[in-house]
Amino acid sequence: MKQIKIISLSLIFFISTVNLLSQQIVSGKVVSSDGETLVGVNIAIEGTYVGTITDMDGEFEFETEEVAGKSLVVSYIGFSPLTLNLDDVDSRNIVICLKESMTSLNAVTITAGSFAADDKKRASVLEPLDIYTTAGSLGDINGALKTLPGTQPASDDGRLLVRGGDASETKTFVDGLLAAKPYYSKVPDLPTRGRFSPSLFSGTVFSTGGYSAEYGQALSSVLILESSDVALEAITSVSLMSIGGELSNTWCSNNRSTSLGVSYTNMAPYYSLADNRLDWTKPTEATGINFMHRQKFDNGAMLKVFSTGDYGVSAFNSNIGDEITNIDTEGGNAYVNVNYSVPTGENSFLKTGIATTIDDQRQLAGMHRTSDDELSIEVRATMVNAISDGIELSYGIADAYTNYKQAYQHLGSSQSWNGGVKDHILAGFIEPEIKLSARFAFRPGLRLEYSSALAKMNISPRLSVAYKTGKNSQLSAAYGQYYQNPVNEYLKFTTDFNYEKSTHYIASYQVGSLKKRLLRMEAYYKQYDQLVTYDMGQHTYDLNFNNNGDGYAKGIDIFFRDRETIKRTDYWVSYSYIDTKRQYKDYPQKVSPSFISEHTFSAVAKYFVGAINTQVGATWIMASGRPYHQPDDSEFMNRKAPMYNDLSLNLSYLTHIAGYSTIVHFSMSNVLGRKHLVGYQTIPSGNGQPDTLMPLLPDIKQFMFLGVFISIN
Amino acid sequence: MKSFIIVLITCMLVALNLSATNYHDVMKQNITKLIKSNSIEEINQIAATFERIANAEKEEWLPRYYSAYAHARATHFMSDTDSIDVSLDKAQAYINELLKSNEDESEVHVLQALVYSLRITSASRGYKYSSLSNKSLDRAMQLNAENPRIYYCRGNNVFNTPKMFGGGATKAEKLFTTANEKFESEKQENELWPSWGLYHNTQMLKKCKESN
Repeated sequence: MKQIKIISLSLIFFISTVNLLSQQIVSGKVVSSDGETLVGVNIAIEGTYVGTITDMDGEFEFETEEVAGKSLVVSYIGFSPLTLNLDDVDSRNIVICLKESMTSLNAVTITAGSFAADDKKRASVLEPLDIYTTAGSLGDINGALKTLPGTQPASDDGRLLVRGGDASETKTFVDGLLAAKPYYSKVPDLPTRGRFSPSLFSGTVFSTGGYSAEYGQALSSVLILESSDVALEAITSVSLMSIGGELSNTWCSNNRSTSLGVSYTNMAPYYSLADNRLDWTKPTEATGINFMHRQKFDNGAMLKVFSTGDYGVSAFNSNIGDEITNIDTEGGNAYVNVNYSVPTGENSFLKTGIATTIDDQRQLAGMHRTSDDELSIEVRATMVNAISDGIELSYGIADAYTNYKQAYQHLGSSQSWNGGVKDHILAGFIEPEIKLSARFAFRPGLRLEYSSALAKMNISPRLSVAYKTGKNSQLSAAYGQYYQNPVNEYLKFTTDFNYEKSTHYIASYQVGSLKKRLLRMEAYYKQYDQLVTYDMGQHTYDLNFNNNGDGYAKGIDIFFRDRETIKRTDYWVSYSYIDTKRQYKDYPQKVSPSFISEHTFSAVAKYFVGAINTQVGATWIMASGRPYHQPDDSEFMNRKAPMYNDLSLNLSYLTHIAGYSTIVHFSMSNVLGRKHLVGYQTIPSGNGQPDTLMPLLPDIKQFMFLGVFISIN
Repeated sequence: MKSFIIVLITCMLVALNLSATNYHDVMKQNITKLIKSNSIEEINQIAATFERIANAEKEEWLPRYYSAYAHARATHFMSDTDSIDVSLDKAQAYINELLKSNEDESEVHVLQALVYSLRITSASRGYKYSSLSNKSLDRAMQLNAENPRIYYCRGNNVFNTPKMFGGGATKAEKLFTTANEKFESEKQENELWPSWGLYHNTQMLKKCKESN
């Protein structure tokens, strides 16, 4: 018995010893391909639980029974995993170098020229909600974008004027398809605003230059709006505003949502209180409707229907010199955008879509009656194919059809005129995005267009590069050639034109993160060629059109956003410097156009006062005076208007009414009560009389807005 | 002979203990460690251990579940929003796998809901992530209405939602009370089954009662 005990004891000892003897140490260090220490990397013996993670110095050490024939698996988020055979290395001193995964969220993204407001994109500088909460924007997407560098404040226009370009040089896209009329029809004397409510979108990319070959027909800028995804909750919302009301409802089921909204705007009650510069005989009255449908299918396909419609009337008396002219407008617009994207393989998908705009406007200005009817249809198909970890290829074709008609009639005489243009712009593009590493990416692109009206083709090469210089910093550059058809206002007379052309060169540097502090600086040079020129002839219809204009724009844009330094406060500041001159239209020589401010500074701040559940916001925009021309001056466009200085405030109070979440919103523009003279416009009299100078002043000196937004769910 | 067998069995047990490669024991040991731990370093070690187990035991879902849960839990000891997001990204990567392999498991959706709620590091994220979180809890509820963690998570969501948006302590209290009842009657499928939430739920219930 004793013997057995001894045997058993020695057996135990033996087994334990064997166990102890076979324990071997595996140790080493893990670094990234840039030599950076990686902390928390998971190291394991393949197929077992044995392993550890790297410490603060990127080092690791653990014991295991057997190393011969075993493999070590090294994995870390954002990096490509690595397997190495322990037979091939000195298991006590392994140096492992991990390569950053190119699909990781931290990998380089191409940002030159573009501002994104999207919480999915790493390169974002704004969040979707920012568009809403920016004081002075009055719920208009463009209003919020005007606080970004590279744009002109041009409060008398309301449209986006980017880096020396005029309003026609910016195109808007919804879900990748053209929105031909993104603004309400512009009436002389008055700024217009964006047609689409910011609440319909979950992402915005605003490119101030150097954009992808996927987009064309824009010399300066593209605004890409992405409509919201499938709604998660059924919701009814009611908005009561000092200028009208809105009602919308969203129905929801699994992977599907539909919403319908109606709106009514009437400026009459507010104008009866406000002190208008214009004499309104029919303050703007409009109705609108929007319908959205989103559906996800089992195969991963997604259908998006986005449609809006509106109809409005307005009339006012305009004083030009001693003459009073009644300007009466009536207009309707319908926009339907249907988008279907479907996966075509493991790593590829096809996006198809069709967008239709129908826009009809009537205007009666004194004795002049014009009617404009435009139909625009864009059909598009784009393939996106991730060929490998580092290469994504996009290519597609599109046809944009326009049928524009204008009829003019002079009521006092038999004079009348009819014109118009029909045009198919066929386009194709191909653009690979190549990541050579997680730090370096470039995107060469090529776009081809053929316009049936011009009967000409254009080929535009594009190139963007981005290089990550650190964890939160990167350098980017972009180059591109951009072509655009002359606007319908000219094409209606003749199609004997060439394309207008611009060439962009952009270099930019960005450091920091949106969650904390972000600084972005961009320098650009833009060359304009083949701009449309004409001579003011005897009659507006025998202008001597040419493509002889040219020009340039160069400048620096700086953007800084800080959400960390001051508690509960979020602010951003922008500064733009621009030097631009162009000869186009009937300019006798190359000058800065009248919408350009050489220096523009803007600051937006938002502060949440928790105790009273109120967010206070302020937007301050200052811009140096804009050039204008006074008739009889010997030199063209030689005068400068005074500096523009606007401070807008808003308050959003969160509360509940009858148990439903409610936001009470108040905003006021030009709190300082300054006279916003932005320049003078020359009104040609045409009949030998001297031209008239009209001061460009806002209709209302200080605009106030009050709204109550109730959500019922 | 009898003794010899005893010796042999003893030897085998010793050997087993030394190598400690038993799935059940390693899991249990690490789950216990995780619940007790309050240091980020230790939690990261535990999360990594679950990750290694997950890679070795591909057919088991609990290792991935606990790795995700550990990364979510680690955020309680973090204040920097960037670090919180990185940790939640790691958790989300496992949840995405679990949603493919175990979509019909209530606990997976509760964990998804928890991760969404933890994303709310600023008021601007409140609406989006609380909607997503509640949506996940709805799915968890469809799969198993007896899961106490659903009520606990929903209670937290309601508690942290401002009163004017339909939140507040009064409404949360009811949910925490229901959660407590469900915790009491909860029957674990096995020792490794998720069982977290009771301790904090009791604390939250106390907090609600005090503020009402």
